[in-house]
Amino acid sequence: MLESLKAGLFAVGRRSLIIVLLFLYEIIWSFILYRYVHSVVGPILYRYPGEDIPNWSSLFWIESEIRLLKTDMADAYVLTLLAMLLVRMLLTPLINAGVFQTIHHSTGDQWRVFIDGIRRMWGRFLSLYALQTLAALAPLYWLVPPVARALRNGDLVSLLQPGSLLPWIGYLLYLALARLGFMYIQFAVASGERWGAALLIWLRKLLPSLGLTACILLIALFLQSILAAASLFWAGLVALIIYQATPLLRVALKIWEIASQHDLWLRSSRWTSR
Amino acid sequence: MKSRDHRRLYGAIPAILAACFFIYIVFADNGLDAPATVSLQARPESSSGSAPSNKPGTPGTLPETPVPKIEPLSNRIVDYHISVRLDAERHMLHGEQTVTWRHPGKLPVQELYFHLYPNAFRDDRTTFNRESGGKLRDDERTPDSIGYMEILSITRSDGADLLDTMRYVQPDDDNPADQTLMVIKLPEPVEPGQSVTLNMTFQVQLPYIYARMGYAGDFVMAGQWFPKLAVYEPKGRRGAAQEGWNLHQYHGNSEFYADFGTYNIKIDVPSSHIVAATGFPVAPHKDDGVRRLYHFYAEDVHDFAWAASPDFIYAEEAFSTPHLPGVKIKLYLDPHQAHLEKRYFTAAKRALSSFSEWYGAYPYSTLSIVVPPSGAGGAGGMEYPTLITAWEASEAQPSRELERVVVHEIGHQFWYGIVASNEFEEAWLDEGFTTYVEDKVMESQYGLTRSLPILSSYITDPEPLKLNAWDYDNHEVYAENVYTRASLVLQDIEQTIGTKKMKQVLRTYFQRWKFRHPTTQDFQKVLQDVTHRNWDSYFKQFVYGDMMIDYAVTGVKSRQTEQHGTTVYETRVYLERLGGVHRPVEVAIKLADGSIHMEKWNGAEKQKELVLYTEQPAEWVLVDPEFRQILENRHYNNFMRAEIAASDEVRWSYGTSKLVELLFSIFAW
Repeated sequence: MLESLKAGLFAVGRRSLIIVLLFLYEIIWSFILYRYVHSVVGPILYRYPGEDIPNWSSLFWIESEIRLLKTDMADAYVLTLLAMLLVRMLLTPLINAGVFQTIHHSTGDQWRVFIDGIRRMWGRFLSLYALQTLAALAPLYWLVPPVARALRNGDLVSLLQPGSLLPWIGYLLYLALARLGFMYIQFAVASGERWGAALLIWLRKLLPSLGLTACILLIALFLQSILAAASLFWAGLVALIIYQATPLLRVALKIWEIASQHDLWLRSSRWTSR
Repeated sequence: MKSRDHRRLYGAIPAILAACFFIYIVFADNGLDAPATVSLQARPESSSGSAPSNKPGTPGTLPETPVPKIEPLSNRIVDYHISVRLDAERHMLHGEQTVTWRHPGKLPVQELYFHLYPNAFRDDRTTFNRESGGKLRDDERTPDSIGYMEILSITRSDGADLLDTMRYVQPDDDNPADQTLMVIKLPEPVEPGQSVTLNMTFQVQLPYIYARMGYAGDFVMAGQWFPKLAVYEPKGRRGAAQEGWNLHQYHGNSEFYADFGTYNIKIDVPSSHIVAATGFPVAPHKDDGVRRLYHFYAEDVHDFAWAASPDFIYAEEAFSTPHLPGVKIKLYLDPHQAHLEKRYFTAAKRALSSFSEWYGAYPYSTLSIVVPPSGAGGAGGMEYPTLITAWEASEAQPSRELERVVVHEIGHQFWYGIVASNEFEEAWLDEGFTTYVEDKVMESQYGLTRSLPILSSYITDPEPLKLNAWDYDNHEVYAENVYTRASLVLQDIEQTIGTKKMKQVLRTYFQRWKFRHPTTQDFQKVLQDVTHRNWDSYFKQFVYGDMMIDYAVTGVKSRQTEQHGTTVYETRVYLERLGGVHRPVEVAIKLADGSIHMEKWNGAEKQKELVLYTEQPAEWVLVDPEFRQILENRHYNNFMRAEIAASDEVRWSYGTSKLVELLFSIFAW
């Protein structure tokens, strides 16, 4: 596992172009999202009465809740965010095709390999991504109705009971597992091997595979929390710079994870074919 | 002062008369005075419009103590004699009804219309179920919630069979599946002032209760359970330009409208059952060990309801105050709440005494409170003349909602039972008024006040208050307007004219319109008469219109400038009026040194710019800081800061967009 982690890190170093490319992609999205959120949050901040007039502040919260639950006030914002997500979801399989191709082919011109991956495999990655999204969203069919019911009844307290939180924690675990499983299938697609074999390897190497992701997640959380704390502490320009720089870290960590998992897969499949 | 004393003296006369009548009834009720019961049972075939106790020609049946002659309180257009038998096994009612209708108009009438309300529960295609989605409040239909009424025979008193002339009509929505309104054609017209008497037999299948009437286990709530005459409005009644029938089906949101009259009702139930009903028992019930026969009588009421259950725990208390001659409060408690007897009685007494003192005496000799069992929520919180239902007894230690519902439904005795508006067309006149007076009692008797700003913020879909009940988008919008917005409008009027004057307005309205059928216009007329001012603009905006009050700060700018050689700050405040106009607006401007600067604006213009020069820059602006604008329903735009710290702006925007980004990253690059 440690070797795969090391190999992954090594791979990150050799895919700097792709990382910079993805960083640019993310930073553009971050900028758009920040501007949008700012345009919504800013005016609200002007309207929030604050500690000066506590009765008006509590009325502010009560009125917000009433309007959110009873009117379509939030619809425009939610729809805009969903539209953004949709565009990103349409781009995701293309990026996946390029990234997995680049990870699999460690030699050659990164850019050409990346574009070649998109051109040759976008169709397969699109259907895989559709399947993955379907698998990821399916449990919401059972998870959302109780929340909707509680919201309709204004019973927000019950949502925070352990009984109603537990399924959501389970859902997050499920999401992580589904994502990993599909990652291995994508390794197989990028290398022209069979899906089934890749999945079998993943299942056989489930623990180290989970270990890799957990390791990188912990490192990511650690770094993110330091940055978040710093940005809250030095709000203003510093925060803005940190905010703009975090996507780079995120992209690098993501590629690291994929590359390490790829290394683990490669070792195991070599071992299998031997 | 003198004239007021005189008025008080005159006012006592009906009270004394009513007190004598009450004593008489109590005796009759207990069966101690048998002859009295005879006179109470005797009803003339033709509707003479007089109370049975003083019907001329039956002097021999009068009790030893002469009962004072009491004029009917209402016009008594209808007279019902019904014998009904409850088949508890099959949840059915079998009824025989003799109904007399006195023609109040000036043109011959050949058709009679009846409400067959139980047909609302026939299937999912009825207007009631279509509009309501098969639920009332939180109570939803179950597969057992099928109910209907079948008319088995209709004959005129001379024997003419009218069953073949019967057909269903749907004036509101042409829904052919709706059978809640029926018309029958008479062989010849009823002439003005004449009466017609019909004999009808009918049966009702009770639904499992979700909307006012039906059964739950052994509990039966019989409300709107008999073929009930629609209202024929003479010219002038409720502003009618021409006389005619006021016809509406049973709708998802609508309640009822009927003429005053007398009800003589015999109810036959299994001997295990205890019956609560409108009016008072004419004699003690008879019981042969298998069946039990109750006999009730009510006059000057416009509906008759009853409830039955083998589980009722019965308790009664007599109650009178200087403003209330005497009433017997009858409580039909669920065993689950047996320990709460005192709370129910206390709430009823506080409500009855307050309303009688403020608006006028409760004129009936009984008030029955039925507590439906757990599972019969659909029966709960409902008003019928002299009978109300509390919430279902699902909780052993209920909150003050227990008192609130009792107070509310007793409020309805005044603003529905006595001042009998048309609930189909102007529901706010009973629900809004009742909610308003309920709040008054909860405040004065229990110290509970509701936050008016929060109630007003709750109004997100304001609609006109005078609107057909089914023309509101859904039940929520109906309730939000006819209960909450209407009560806020009354609070607003009270704030404008003062509490004392408001009591005078409601008292005058009650006294002028008791046992009659007022409209919104009639209320406005009373308001104008008492306050000596014109309320047209107010009613146009907030009652007939869908206006609320909404003032907004749209900008605050402070800049440094020179004035008479010293440095001052010029602050410009931009205000907008987005709602109606009622009273001037106060604007608070907080300066950087913490001081508050108050400005006044008449609030009439659509836009207003305030300019002020101060030694300190402005920090924020707040419109209507003391919540004087009761109908202001968008408080968030009343406030605005001149500026916010850049760091705050970044922090919040950053944090929020981060969170969104995290969610996105689960699904996409």
